Parts: sequence; C-alpha cells; structure tokens
Amino acid sequence: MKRVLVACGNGIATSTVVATKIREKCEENGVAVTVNQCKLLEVESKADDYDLLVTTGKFTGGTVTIPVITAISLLTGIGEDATLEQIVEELKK
Amino acid sequence: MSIAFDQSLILRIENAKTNTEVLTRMCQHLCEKGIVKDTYCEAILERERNFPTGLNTHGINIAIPHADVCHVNTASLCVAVLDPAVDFHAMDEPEDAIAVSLVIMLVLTEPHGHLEMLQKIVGLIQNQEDVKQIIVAEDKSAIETVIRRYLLEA
Repeated sequence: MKRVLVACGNGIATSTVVATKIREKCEENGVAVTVNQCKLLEVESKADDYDLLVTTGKFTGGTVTIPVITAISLLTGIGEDATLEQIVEELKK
Repeated sequence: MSIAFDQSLILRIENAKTNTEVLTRMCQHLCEKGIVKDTYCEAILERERNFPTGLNTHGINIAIPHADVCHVNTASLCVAVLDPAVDFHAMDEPEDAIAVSLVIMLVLTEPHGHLEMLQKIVGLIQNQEDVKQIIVAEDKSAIETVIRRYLLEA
C-alpha cells in the first residue's frame, strides 16, 4: 500500500479535490493507495511517513526526501491527464 | 450540506487597484450578510499573502480565495467579476502575478468537506466557455444561471 500526502495552503479545499482525483485514478489503475491531506506548513513534519508528496501550491516550507509532484493541473485542467499518469507511474515504482 | 448561493452573492467590482481591495470588498459583503465572522477578512488576506490562490488557466484567469473554516458561519460561495482584471499571485508560482477576471470565494465550513461543490467549481474553472459567459454577462441573473447549472446539476 502506497501512501500519498496531498498538501495545499489550508489543507481544506484544493487538496480535497486533488486527493479525490488521485484516489479515483489509482483505483482505475489498480494501485492501492491511502491518501491524506495536510497544510503546506505541516508537510516537513509529516512527509517521512509517505511515499509521495503532491501539492497544489508551491512547496517552499523546507526539505523533503520523498518525490514531489505539483498538481495545479488538476485544478486548471491544463495537462491534467499527464499529471495523473505521472502520479500513477511514481506510485508503481 | 447545502451551499448558500443567490444573486446577492454576485458582485461586479470595477476599477479595483489591488487584490486586497477586491478581497476586502467581498469579505465585507459576506460579513454584512452574517455569512462570515468579523475575523474572516483578515484570515482571507493573510492566507492570500502566504498562499495565493490565482489559477493560471491560459485563458480567463480565476482566483479561488478561501480561509479556515473557523471564520465561517454559513457555507456559501461569493462570486466577483472584475472589470478590468486585477493582479493576483499564482498558486503554483507565488512570484508570478496573473491578471484575474473572476473570483470565486469558497466560504467553507467543513475541512476536507464540500467535495461535490468543490469538484463542480473545478469543473467550471476548466470550462472556459462558461467562464467567458460569466465575464461578459450583462446582469447578475445570467451569471447566477451559469453557476447554478454547475452547482445544482449532477
């Protein structure tokens, strides 16, 4: 089971949409995941427990050792499919 | 959980100089209607400074400001059409300013909630034809019609 952390400014709105899209895409592709949400400010303290960090805003709050994917496309729609594919590929590793 | 939305929550803001001015006017409006607490405005402005909410759609750019749920009384949406467009900073590139013509303020009461509404708003953001209809609308009822189509229909 892969673990994905989705972060946005407040951890209440855009991460909710993004987390749902990731769950749906992973289900379609047979990738077992748990997806949790947090605020960007909480990322540094939480990231160690996860395999992948996905953010809507720019992550500048410190350093993390896990891969980071920016998912603004899941809000704007521009390049959305490519970003979802990238997330699935990363989780299949 | 239903979301309060009607024509009284649609604003046309003309000749605003800064996004602070736009957000302040929207927040004051919500505060006067009792939808948010008097702490809401400062929360929105601080959030926008730290984590800007402009979305570069490569078309009509949109901002989706929102604040922590503790400042909100009633879940709602507030929409402002900006004429002319006003600079907001981009969510993914906070150094970049983008000219925003439509502000959809998400007035939320549940963290990690309102999924359906948020998905519908994202659906609207991704449909530039409908965003354009909102921007060029002559009156508030035309704007309400477009937004309601997203919010109410499956």
